[in-house]
Amino acid sequence: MSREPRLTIDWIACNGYGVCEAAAPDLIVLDDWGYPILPDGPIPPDLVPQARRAVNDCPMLALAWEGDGAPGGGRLGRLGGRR
Amino acid sequence: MSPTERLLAGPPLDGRAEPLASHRARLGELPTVPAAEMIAALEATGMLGRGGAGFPVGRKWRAIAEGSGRGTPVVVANGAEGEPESAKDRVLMAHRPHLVVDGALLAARTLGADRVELYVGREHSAAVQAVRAAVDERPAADRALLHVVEAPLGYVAGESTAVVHYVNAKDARPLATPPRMSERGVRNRPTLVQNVESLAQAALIARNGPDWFRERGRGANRGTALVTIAGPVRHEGVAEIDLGTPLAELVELAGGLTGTPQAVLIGGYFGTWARIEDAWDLPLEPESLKAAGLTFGCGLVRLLDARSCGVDYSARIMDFLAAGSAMQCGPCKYGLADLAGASGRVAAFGAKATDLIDIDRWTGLVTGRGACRHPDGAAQQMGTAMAVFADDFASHAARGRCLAEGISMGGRR
Ligand SMILES: Cc1cc2nc3c(=O)[nH]c(=O)nc-3n(C[C@H](O)[C@H](O)[C@H](O)COP(=O)(O)O)c2cc1C
Ligand code: SF4
Ligand code: SF4
Repeated sequence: MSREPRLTIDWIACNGYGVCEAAAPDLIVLDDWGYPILPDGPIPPDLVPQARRAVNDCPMLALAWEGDGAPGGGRLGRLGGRR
Repeated sequence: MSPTERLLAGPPLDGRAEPLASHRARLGELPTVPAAEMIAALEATGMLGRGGAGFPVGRKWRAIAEGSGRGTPVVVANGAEGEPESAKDRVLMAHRPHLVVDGALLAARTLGADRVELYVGREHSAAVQAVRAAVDERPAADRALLHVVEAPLGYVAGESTAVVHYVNAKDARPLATPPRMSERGVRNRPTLVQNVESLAQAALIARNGPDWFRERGRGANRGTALVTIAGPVRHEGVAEIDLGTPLAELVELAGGLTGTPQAVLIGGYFGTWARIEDAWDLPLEPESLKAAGLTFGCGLVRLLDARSCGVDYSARIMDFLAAGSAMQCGPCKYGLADLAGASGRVAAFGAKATDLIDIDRWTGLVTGRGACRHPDGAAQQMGTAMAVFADDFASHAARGRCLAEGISMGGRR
């Protein structure tokens, strides 16, 4: 069964330095306080590479991948993310 | 008080807890109901949890009974009641502690739990005393299961993952909840966190069955419910009503108006505001309120007098909720503080040009962006206040003038 890829975030872990926005500028914008605003729905196919970079670059392992095509990278702390 | 009470039937609410002997004489022993039958009965009642989130109680018990969690389940009776204007849980615990204990024991027997944590807000001293005394009155076999935990102060301390965190580690901040609590909660075991009123209702359902429960109530969601009414009525306080009772009737039950309400906050500090004319005939019942864009929440019904300022009232609530953030998640920590700052400036006639637009934007921006639903609730209160008190907010911000003060009693309705 295939599942469309999505990003989830652990808000307690996120430090708000915005590394993810630098890694995925077309996918993630920062709010008034510097915290990432994630796309609502699934990650558009052409932005999957950026999303992978954001997950791999997040220093707090706050971003997680749900669905197909999870990045390898070895740094992915939380498989499947919250919930 | 109404002759139709169930939870609050029995001796008068005079500050004294009903002793076990009286409780048993009135209601008999808690019957032994097979687990499958008890869960089916709860499902048949359609009862929704009374702690605020309104999740179906039967479904929650079934999730644990049939879940894949490991270990013997734990039951937590949530009597934190951190909501400042709600008093229904503390009144229930202080006067009918044995009904709450019965409900918690019923959940434990049904789910095969070997531990019951009675989590009672420490500021509710009468409730703490009553629950402790009730446990002491129970036979040794029950006492071995029952543990009273005094919940710390704070709005968020009653949130279910905060409850589990506190019981486990004396830290009442919500968790990022990777596993479901029905699988891993207290001591990493499957955990039922259930509001004390929900449990007390279950104790009566075990005795009388789901059909009896559904005999009362007038809307889609049936049974009775505890509500707290506050504001310009003769008798502020806790009442037990048929779900679906219109607000107008609840006001009558509370002895009638002593002022002229302009609006009502329903559901708690994380609830929803409505204009009094829109809410007056509305059935107080989760489904009907939801259809009207409102929420039953924890059953708080807070009338705001026409002489009081809705901008000021909602800004104060915002300030309280911002201070109540567990400060773990950025949008909650900084967003609620900014919302409190902006609404406070508008209330105090010191608005910045951008404040109204920012309040509107930030309520959207904090929603759904925390580990728990605290920011969602805070934004809901603020957003509905902005809609209901739109003229007042505009007048405060643009003209530095409060409409409430300029209005004579009766001018609003
Ligand atoms: C910020 C916050 C505070 C809460 N405080 C309480 C509380 O004081 N008492 C309570 O029973 N539920 C409270 N809740 C709801 C609980 O998380 C949980 O849904 C409830 O205890 C479950 O019981 P119920 O299904 O019987 O309502 C709170 C939720 C949030 C988001
Ligand atoms: S990189 Fe990670 S920690 Fe940093 S802002 Fe983005 S999600 Fe938060
Ligand atoms: S959303 Fe707010 S109250 Fe909830 S855990 Fe995060 S910081 Fe704490």
